[in-house]
Amino acid sequence: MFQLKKRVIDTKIIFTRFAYLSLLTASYCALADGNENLNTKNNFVYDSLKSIQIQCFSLNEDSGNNHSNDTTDLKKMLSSQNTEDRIHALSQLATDSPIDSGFVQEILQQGLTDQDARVRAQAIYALSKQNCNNADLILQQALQDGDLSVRMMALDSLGSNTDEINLLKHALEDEEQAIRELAQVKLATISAQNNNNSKQ
Amino acid sequence: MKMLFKKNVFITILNGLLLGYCGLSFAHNQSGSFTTGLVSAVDYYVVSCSDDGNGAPAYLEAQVKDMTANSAKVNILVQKGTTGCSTKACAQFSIDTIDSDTGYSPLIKLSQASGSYNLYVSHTGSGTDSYDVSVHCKTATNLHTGTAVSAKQQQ
Repeated sequence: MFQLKKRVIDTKIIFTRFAYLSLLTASYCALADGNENLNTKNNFVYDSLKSIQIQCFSLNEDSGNNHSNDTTDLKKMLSSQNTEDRIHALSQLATDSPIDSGFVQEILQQGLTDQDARVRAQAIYALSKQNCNNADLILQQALQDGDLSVRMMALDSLGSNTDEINLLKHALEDEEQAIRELAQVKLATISAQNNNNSKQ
Repeated sequence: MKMLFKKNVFITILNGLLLGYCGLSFAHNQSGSFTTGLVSAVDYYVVSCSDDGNGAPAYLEAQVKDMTANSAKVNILVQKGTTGCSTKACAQFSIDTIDSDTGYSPLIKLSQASGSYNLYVSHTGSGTDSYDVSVHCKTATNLHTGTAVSAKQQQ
């Protein structure tokens, strides 16, 4: 009888401890997932990006060569469940490394419609570093994204042609201070460059 | 009693797995991101170096990995102490200039023994950069010793 009572008490203690620790874990997970939910909340732009078909061209002569090892690794990373892996795969396209343009097109298309805003943001920046058509249109769409990281990356990717300057000017009215700040810095840089060019 | 001990071990393992699942790490790597996107954003941590049985801390070493490829580059500044800084550096800086790879910035060492080191993470431009700081307290014989990181400010 005593043994049975002791077992019941032991089991109660175990359950209480487990429930307490699980609650702590669940609270932490809920906090961690909060950002993810925010990212997926306001993504009407994400749907419009799905409908845009991008087409990319070689950045340099070497890109036509066989880089199956690179592409296999990148494909593996991009299909990973780990967000950091997908971001890293796309960050490698932010350089002028010789990767087949068809493959670049394929993974950018996939990255631009990723559920995670950080992945979409990295895809936006990579797109701006590659030679793809419709890039301006996609950047314009990305500037409407509900997620700050996507808008920041789109703004960071803008160059200095007339359309892009207009987008930068428009960004001066954004509700986020960081967006307005970056737009101001970029416009000031472009203005200084133009002044230097006109002096020379 | 033996049964209770076994059950406790089981629960500890189970909860460890749950914590691992949602990304909590007890390794000496501190991940973070500049959520405000502001150029002036500074994340501030305090790293406590203590003797965990491996020996008294002699120095702290740290480096940072910028995990977001964009115009802004992430850097760290580690500081401890205010006296004799000309002979033994009180502050060191390191920047990850290549953010499209998995490499870290150059390793910096600050030989200021045990105690609290200030670790500041900032970036060179606007952007919601993510980063990972690797930080370790070590003994004079380069053995890893007690290292605890505490987040004080997140921007």
